[in-house]
Amino acid sequence: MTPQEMFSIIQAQYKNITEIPYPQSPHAAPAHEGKPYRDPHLYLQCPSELWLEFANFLKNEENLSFDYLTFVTALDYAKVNPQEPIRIEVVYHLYSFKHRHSIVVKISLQRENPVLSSVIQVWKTSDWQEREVYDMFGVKFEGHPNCSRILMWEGFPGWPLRKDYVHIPDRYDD
Amino acid sequence: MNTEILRIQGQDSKTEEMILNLGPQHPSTHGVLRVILKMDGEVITSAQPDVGYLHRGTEKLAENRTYPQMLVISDRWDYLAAMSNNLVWALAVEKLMQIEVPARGQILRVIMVELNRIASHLVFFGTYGIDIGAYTPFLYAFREREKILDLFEEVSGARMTYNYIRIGGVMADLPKDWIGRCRSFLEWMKPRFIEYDTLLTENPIFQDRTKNIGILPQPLAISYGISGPNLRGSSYRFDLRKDAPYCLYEKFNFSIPTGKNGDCWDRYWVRIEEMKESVKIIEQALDLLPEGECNAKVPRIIRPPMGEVYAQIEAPRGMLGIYLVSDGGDKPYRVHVRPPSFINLAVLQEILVGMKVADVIAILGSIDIVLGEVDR
Amino acid sequence: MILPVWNESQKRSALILFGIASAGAGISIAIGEIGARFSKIWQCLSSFALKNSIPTALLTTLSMIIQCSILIGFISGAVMFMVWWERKVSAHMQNRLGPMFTGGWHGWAQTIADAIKLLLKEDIIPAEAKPWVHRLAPIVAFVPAFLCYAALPFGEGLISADLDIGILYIFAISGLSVLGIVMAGWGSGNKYSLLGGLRSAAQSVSYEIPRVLSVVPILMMVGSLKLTSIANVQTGFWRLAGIPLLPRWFIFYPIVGQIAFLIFLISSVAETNRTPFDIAEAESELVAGFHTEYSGMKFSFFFLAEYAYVFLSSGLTTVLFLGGGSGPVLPSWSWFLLKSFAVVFLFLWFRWTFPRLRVDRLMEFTWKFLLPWSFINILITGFILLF
Repeated sequence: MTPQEMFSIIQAQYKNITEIPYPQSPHAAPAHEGKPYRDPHLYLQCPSELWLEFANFLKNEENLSFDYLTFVTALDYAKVNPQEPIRIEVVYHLYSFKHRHSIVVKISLQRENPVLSSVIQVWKTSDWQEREVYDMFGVKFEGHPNCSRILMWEGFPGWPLRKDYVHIPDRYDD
Repeated sequence: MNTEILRIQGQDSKTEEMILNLGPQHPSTHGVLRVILKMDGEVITSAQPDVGYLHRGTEKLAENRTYPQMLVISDRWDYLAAMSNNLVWALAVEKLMQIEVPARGQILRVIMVELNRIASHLVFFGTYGIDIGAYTPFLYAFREREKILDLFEEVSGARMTYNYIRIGGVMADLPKDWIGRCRSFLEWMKPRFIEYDTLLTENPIFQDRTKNIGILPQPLAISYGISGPNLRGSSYRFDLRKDAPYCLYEKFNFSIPTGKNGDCWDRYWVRIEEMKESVKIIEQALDLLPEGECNAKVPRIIRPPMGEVYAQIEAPRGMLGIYLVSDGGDKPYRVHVRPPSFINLAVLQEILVGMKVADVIAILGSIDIVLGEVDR
Repeated sequence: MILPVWNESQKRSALILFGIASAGAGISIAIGEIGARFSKIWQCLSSFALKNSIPTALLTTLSMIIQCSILIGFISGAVMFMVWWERKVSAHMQNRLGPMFTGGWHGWAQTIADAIKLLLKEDIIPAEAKPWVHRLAPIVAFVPAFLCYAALPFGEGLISADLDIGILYIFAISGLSVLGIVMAGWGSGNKYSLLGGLRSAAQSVSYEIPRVLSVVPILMMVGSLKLTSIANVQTGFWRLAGIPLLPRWFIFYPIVGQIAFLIFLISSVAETNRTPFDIAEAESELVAGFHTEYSGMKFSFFFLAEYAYVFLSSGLTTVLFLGGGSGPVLPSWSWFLLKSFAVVFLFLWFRWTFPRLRVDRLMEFTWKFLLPWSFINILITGFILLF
C-alpha cells in the first residue's frame, strides 16, 4: 500500500493523528547542498494519549496489519536546534509481513517526567526496547510489567542519552 | 562459574523455589550474560536475562564522532561479523547522502559480508558443539575460520575489526591474486560440510539433545521481533537479501533455508545450510566482479543533509539496522542501532519456562547471541 | 582416497614409531614368558628359605609386598602413558599437535610434569566440608581399582590372585567406587557437588547391571568364573580345511559375542564417567561435578582412579572378549597389553567424537535399551547351548 492510501485509512479513524511532512531545507543550510533526505515511508505524529489505541488499530486493521515492531527508540530535542521544539520524541518503526510495507509513528512527550503507555500487549518485542528507552531517556511506560533499567546498573543516576546529561563521578572514575 | 542459591518458601510448604544464577562468567563462550533462573526442582519456572555488562555507550559516543569515525566503533557491535556492521553504517550514511556506490564496490562488499557470514556461523557451529559436549568440531570450525581470517587480513589488515567497508565503497581494492586464494578456500570449504554433517548434524546424540527442545512458535517469534536464522528456523521465510535487496543481491542466485519445527535443531540446521548458500553467493560474485572503480566520490568532510534514515541488512545474527538522524552537521544527531541479538535474547524469558535445566545451555546456544551487539 | 604425502618430520616420526614398535616386539620376545620366570624365581626363593629355615610367613609377606609394588608401578606407568596418549590422540583428532616440548620428543614427560605440578598445589578443604569424609573420598575412589588389578590376568602365570570367583570379585569390588563418588559429593559441602555426585552415583549403579549381565553369556559358555580359564578357552583358531580363519575370541561368536561386547563396552564407558556419559565432570553443564572442591594431590588421586578404571575395563574387555593373551609369536603379556591399549584407544576415541547425553536420556538408555538386550542375549545363549 502506498503511504497515501494508508494515511487515508488512518485519517478516517483518527482525526488527531497527523502526517509529518517531508523535511524542508532550513534557510541556514550548511555548505553541503544536499537536499534533506527521509525514507519513503509514512511518518505519523500521534498524541501520547491515543497511542495504545492507535497501536492496536495498526496491528489489527486488515489492510494495515503491522504485526512486526522493528524498533523503538527515542530522540531528545533539547535547545540544541533552535528550529525544533523542546521535547522527547519516541519513535516506533513498524513493518507488516503480510503487505510488506512500513510505517513510522512518532510521539512527542515533554522532557520533565515523560510518560507513555506501553504497547507490550500488542508487540511483545517492546518489552526490552521500552526498558532501554526508559534507561536512556527516562520515559516511564505505563502498563509495562517491569519498567527498570536494562543496560545501566540499578540505581544509576541520570538519563544517559539526554542531551543535557552530565556524568556524575562515581566509584568507577579515578 | 558463579552460582548462588536462595531458598524461597512457596505458598505450599512442601515446595521450595530455587533461584539459580547462570552467572556473568560463563563456561560456554557467549560472553558476559547473566540469566536468573527460578526453578522448581529440575523445571524452570522463570528466566530473566540480565544484560548490560558490555554496555559501552556507542549511541552516546556517536554524538561526538564524525561519520567515518563511527565506522571504527561499528566494528565492535557484533565483533564476530564486523563486515556486516561496517556495511550497515555505510549504507545508512550513503542513503542519507544519496551516494551511489559503483558495481565493483558493491560486489566486493557482498563477497566480504558473505565470507564473514561463513566465519560467524563457523563460530556458532564450534561453540554449539562444545555446549552440547562435543569438543572436536570446535577445532575443525576454527581451522576453516583461520583461512577466512587470513583472507581478511590480506584485504584489510585486521583479523576481527576490519573497518574495511567505508562510506562510498571499500577501503582499498583487492591485493594481487586474492581472488585465486579465495577460490581455493571455497574449494577447500565445500567437502567440509560433509564432514560437519557426519560429525554433528547427523549424530543421534546431538539430535537427541536438540530436537524438540526450545520450540519457538511462529506467532511468538513475530511478536517478539525475532529475525535472522531464528525466524527462519521457525519456518517463516523472510530474508532481507531476497525481500528487500541491497548491494546488488538481486543479481545472485541462492535459496533461503527454512526450518520446519522451530526447535534448536532447526535453527542449527538453518545456519549450516546458510553457510552452503554463502559459498554459492561468493562464487557467483567472484565471477561477476567487474573491473573499474570501487569507490564513489565522497567529500572529504562528510556532512549529510538534514533528515533521518533507517537502513537494515541481513547480518548473520538477524536484521541489523541503523536509525540515523542528522541535523546537517558533521556529527550525527542521533544514532540508534537495532541490534538483532538484543531483540532475539528477549524471547528467552518465554521459551525457557517449562524446560529442564539441562536444556538451558542448548537453547541459549541456539539463539546465537553476541554480547557486543546485545549491549552495544 | 588420496594417499597422504608425508613431509620430512612426519617421515621421521613414522620411522621412530616403527623403530620403537619393532624394538618393543624384539625385547618382549627376548624376555619371553615372564610368568614362567617369576614362578622359577619364587621356587628358588622358597627353597632358599626352606634351607635356611626362614619362616614361610616372612616369605609370603615379602612376595605380597613385591607383587603390590609391581602392580602399583604398573598402574602408575600405564596411567602416565595413558594421560599422555589421550592428549596426543585428542590433539591429532582435532588437527593440532598436543604436548611437544616437555621432555623432548613429542612431550613424553608431560604427565610427569603434570604430576609434579599437582603435588605442589595447595591443598584446600572448603569451610563447609566434612573434613574426614572429604579427605578419605579420593582414597575410597582409588583403592577398589587397585584391588581389582590383583585378579586381572596380565598373561600366562601373571596373575596376582587367581581366584575361583575372579570375575565376580572384580565386579563386586569395582562397585565400591560409587561410595567414593558419593563421599566426594557429600563431603565437599557444596550443594552442586552433592547433586553432581548423586547423579554420577545413579549413573554408575544403573550401568552396573547391564555390564554384569552382558558377561553372563560368556560365563554360561565357559562354565567357570575363573578369569584364567576364560582366557584359556579363547586360544587357538577356528580352522576351515586347515587354514586358520578366526581366532577363537568371544567377540567372534555369532550374534551373542557381538551384542555382549557392545553392551559391555558401552556400560564400561558409562561406569568410568567418560564421554558420552560424563555429566559428572562436564564443564559446560550447569551443575559442577563431584570433584570440584578437590585440588592438588587429592585431585590427582581422582584422576589416577579414573584412568586406572579405564585400563581395568579395557583389560577386562580383553580377557573376556578378545582372548587376553593369546596370539602368535609374541609372548602373552605383550599381546594382553596390545589388546588392552587398543580398547583404551576406543575409549579415547569416543570421548573426542561424541557429544554428551543428557541425564535423563542416559538413564532411559540403560534401563530401556541395554538391560532388555542383555536379557535377550542371555536367552539366545541359552538356546545356542541347548541345541
